[in-house]
Amino acid sequence: MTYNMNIEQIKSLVARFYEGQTTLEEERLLADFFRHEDVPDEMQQDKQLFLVLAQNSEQVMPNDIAEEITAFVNNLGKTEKQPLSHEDRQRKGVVFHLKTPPKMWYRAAATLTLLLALGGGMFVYRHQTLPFRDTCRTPEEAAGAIFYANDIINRSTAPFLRSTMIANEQVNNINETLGKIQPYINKQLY
Amino acid sequence: MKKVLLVAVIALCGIAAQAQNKIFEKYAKMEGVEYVCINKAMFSAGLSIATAGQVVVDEANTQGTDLSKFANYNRMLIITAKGDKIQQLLGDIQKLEKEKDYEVLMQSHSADGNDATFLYNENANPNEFIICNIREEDCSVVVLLKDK
Repeated sequence: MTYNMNIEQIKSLVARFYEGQTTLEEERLLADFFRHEDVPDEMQQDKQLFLVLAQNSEQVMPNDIAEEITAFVNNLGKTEKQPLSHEDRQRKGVVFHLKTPPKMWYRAAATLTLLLALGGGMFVYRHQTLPFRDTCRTPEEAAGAIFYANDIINRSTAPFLRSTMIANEQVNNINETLGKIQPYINKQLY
Repeated sequence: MKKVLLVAVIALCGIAAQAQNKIFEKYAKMEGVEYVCINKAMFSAGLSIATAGQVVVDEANTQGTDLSKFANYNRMLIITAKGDKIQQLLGDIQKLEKEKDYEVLMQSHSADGNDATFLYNENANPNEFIICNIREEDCSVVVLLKDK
């Protein structure tokens, strides 16, 4: 394709294009020029712009795009302004719906994972060897506490020991008395 | 899903039952309560030097004290409550008796107001032997523990 216009005319057309004064025919001329001709260095940026514009102009826009956009915008306004009905509010509460129920092995895997986690937790809980935090910092402190516990235990067992001693004394007294009367009993019997 | 929840609830009940052993843990930071806890390593070290008579406690002569009763255990708790905390501690001891399957081995009441209760649970892990001593001014509980 040959162009009768020289570079100066092209530059003039480009200037008018940027000012929005070109006709469709002139813009098509410019696009063809930039697509096919050797472009001077100072117009390389213009060339890039026209190539991009030409590429976009080849995309076919749907006829009803304006209506779709208008309807979309109107719907947006409605959902923002109109209060939700009771049913809508109830429906809104449901966050997640599965279209198809999970397969059996999914359920089994979930159950098994839960049981393993619980079982592991119980195992750790049962076998933890230090359920309480140590309050003694040195063995001497621990020894002191052991003596203190020993005192408490001795104090607690003291009544039992006293009772045992009294019971022993009574048994000994009975045995002694039995020992004294035994010869008389033997005499009476034999 | 219901089955999974049922299993989870049963498992959590098991964990809750295990938590019964920690009935005394709340006294660790309670005001008006003296709380001493000695775990395995420290208990062993403390018992060794106490048995060897290397420790002087309150300037009292502890040499020759019979500490053989501690040999079968490897952990210990001592809780001494005073004032209004006594009733709380006694309430927990009664709970152990009534609800947690602890057997009362011995109970005593002496004329000087010194009462004692000995509790034991052979099914618990760790094995627990609990001595509760009540005097007029305080209530002391010694818990001796032995891991099975």
